[in-house]
Amino acid sequence: MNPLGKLGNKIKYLTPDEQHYVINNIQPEGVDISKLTESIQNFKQNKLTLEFIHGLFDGDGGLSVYFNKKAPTSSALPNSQAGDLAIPKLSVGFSFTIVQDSHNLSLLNEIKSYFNERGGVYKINNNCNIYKAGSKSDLISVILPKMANKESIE
Amino acid sequence: MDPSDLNLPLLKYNKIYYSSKILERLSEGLNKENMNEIIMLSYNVRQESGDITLEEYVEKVKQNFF
Repeated sequence: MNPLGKLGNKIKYLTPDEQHYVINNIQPEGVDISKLTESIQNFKQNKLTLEFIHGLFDGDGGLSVYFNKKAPTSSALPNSQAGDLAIPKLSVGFSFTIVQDSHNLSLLNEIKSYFNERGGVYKINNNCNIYKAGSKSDLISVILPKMANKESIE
Repeated sequence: MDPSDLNLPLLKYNKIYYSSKILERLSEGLNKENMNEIIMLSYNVRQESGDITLEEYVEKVKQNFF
């Protein structure tokens, strides 16, 4: 998590000295942070829940369907389909995505783990990463049933 | 799937619901018989946003791919 990202505009309420400490990530002298350090070291992250994933999907996620046209090759078609040559071969693609700030890359990896390592995590640019799954079998067997909290989507 | 089962806004719930329906239909493969129904179902899960009616969408897909 980027502390400055979380602070946003609120940093203006700090004094110039305090802003200097925050922006440059400097620990002021005489401040005891041992308990904080201990707390961070002992921090145990909760496992992802379906409600949390729903929240991410609602805010930063997407699910879409698209069509692709592939020119049929006559040699690939059996004789019985020779009359269908005028009809282009159409395929249907899916895209299930969740986008996060690059500081939350580990969260996207956890999401991939939540979905039984299906799909992948990719870099969009220096600020963003994306979890993406598009395989029909992944969607049928894992992602949609988990999102719907069902054993299967049927 | 019942919308009340999921804590999701209807728009997002619809995407899961209609994607599931399309995948069910696709289990038989994409063919002349189910193509029209799949195109109509995909209206609810389309990539592009913006105002477009179901009829306009179906027409657009058919123009682009046939």
